[in-house]
Amino acid sequence: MRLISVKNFKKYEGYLFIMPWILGMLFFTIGPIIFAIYIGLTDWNVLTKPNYIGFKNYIDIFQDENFWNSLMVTVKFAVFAIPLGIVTSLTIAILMNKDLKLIKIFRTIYYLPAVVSGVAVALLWRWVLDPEFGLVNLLLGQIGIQGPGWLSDPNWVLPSYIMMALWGAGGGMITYLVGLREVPKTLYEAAEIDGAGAITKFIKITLPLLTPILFYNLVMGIIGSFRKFTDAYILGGAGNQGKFYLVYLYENAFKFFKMGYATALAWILFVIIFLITLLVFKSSSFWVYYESSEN
Amino acid sequence: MKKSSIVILALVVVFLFVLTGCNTTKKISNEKVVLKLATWAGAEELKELQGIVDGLNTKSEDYQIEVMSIPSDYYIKIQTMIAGNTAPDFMWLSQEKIPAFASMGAILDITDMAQKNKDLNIKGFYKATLQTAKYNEKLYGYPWISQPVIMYYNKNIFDGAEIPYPTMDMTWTEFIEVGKKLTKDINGDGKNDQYGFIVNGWPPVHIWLWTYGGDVINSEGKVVIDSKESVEGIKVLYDIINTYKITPNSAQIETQGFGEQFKTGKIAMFMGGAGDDFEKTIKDFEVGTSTIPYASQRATFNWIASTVISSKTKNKEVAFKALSDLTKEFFNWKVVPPVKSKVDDIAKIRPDKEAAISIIKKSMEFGRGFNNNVKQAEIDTIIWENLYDKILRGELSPEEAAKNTATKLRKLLEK
Repeated sequence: MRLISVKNFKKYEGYLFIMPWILGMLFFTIGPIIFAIYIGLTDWNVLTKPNYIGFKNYIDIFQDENFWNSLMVTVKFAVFAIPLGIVTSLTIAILMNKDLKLIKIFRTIYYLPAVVSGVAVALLWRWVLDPEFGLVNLLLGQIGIQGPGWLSDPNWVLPSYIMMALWGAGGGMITYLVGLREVPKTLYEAAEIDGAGAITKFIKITLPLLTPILFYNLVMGIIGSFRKFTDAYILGGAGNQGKFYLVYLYENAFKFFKMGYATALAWILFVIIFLITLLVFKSSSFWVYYESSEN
Repeated sequence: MKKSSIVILALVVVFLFVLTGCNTTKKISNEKVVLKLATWAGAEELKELQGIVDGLNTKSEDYQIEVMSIPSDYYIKIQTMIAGNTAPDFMWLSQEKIPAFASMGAILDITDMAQKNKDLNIKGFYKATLQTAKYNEKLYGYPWISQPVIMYYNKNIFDGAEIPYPTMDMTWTEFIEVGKKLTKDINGDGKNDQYGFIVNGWPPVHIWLWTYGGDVINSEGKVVIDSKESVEGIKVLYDIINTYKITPNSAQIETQGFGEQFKTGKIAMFMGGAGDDFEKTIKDFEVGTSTIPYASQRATFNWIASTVISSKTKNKEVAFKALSDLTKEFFNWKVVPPVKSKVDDIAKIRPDKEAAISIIKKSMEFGRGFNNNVKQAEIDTIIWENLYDKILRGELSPEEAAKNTATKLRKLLEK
């Protein structure tokens, strides 16, 4: 008997060591998620007890024009910012992959935006985009163009946010850089012998081998774009064009006392992100190339 | 990279929506009742408040007030504390928050205690001021500060143009006429660099609605923003911005500031709270004050904040006594005290306001808050997005903007 229990203990000993994390996950992640499912079905206003109201929040949301507006703003941003971000990050990575003197300093400079706090970045951009004294309009003025009121003209709000997102593209560079470094030199050498030029090498070797990284960045980009909040919350934008999904969610939760409604909004966002991510995952078998899965 | 590791990494990120909360500890004193006062005051203001509280704590044998300063995200913090059952005993609430907090049972109905309170007679308050601390005719707190909107003007600009200073009798028609004369290109570069007035979402649209006999929602809770009177008021605001252009445009305001432009002498007439310190801080020109213009009626917006008691406070009698003592002290601290008997003492608190006392007094008489509603935050958002912002951009006519806003407000209030 004793031997068996000791043996059993040995078998489960590992769980004891990871118990703090299991418990933490249960209480602070799984617990709140389950609770949030319930809250989304109530009229909870934060200050009083929640009342169960079934799917009313979800029905209301789909009839709420502010919901559609914020969703459209977010989707439009994602459609432009993600591809542009990927192209920019990849381009920077290729440039930063050259073995030049001082290249490490350049890499650090390009990566810097990723380590600066979102609030600080937003405040910085407020100045950069200032219609009269901002850097952007100052430069445009030098070449004789009267720059727009970036955040005060509804038509320029979205381009402003895309511009801000691209400024942070250096953060994505790091993963591409790793990918580029992992591409076996022998492949390039073989291609060169066959007479391949720089562009052919890039399209036939670099790009296919980078697809896992592209895939990863695409997924992260989708999640990041839909969860855009900090700079939008601080900078806003004229004519509701800066009201991203999470900003609207925040308003409902903390300004309008509609925590149940806001939680339902969060679940809808989750489903949207989940479905898009799933779609990207499904599509990955057509365009993502894994070294390990193909011998 | 391995496929499986990428899948796991991405899924973990998708799932990670982490909620965090905060907690506070509660002290219990054996002798005195410990009461926490949540305040948005910080820095200098906080020091002054601490001084007031220290004085009361020394005098009182019943209570010990502890100041809890929350200078940023004030309302989120107190809402979280209330939700977590650790509500502070006293809270400062801006007038538009009171109906929501009261309807949710978060704050204490003090109607009976206030009526019996001999130390602080509720009849001493300005009626409209006290009204903002009420919900369904029950009193939920004592107002401690009020800021009626008054007009500040640049005397030098008026002198230079040989136009008489604005008086308390100025109507909106006269205001626009004067504004037109004072909006001009001083340095001759073809662009206006001096304006009669400045508006960008402040002052609230209500001052035009009210002075023309309209409102957003009347005292019975009916949406009247598209009534004939309201639209007339909105038209005047529209004309100021878009027809006569006596105010800088929004891009100019964004870059050069709002109050700053008045301070640098570019604006002839400015509307600000009665407690603003232009008289003290502006050295380059002389500042005059007047009441805001009127039309069919006299009115101005009065921003008011009250101190309320949490409904969860342990010892209600002691808490009320402390609230009463605190409020009386606040009357000697802030401009403008919301009680009639203290308005003449304004100069003792703020010597720079001496010349404005008659203006402030008059403004306190006809000043009022919004007809606050449980959904005030949503109402304000609708007004900004569908009315004020559209008028500022000249995107919609006053009639269209009023109609859209009314439709949205009615839909909101139906729910």
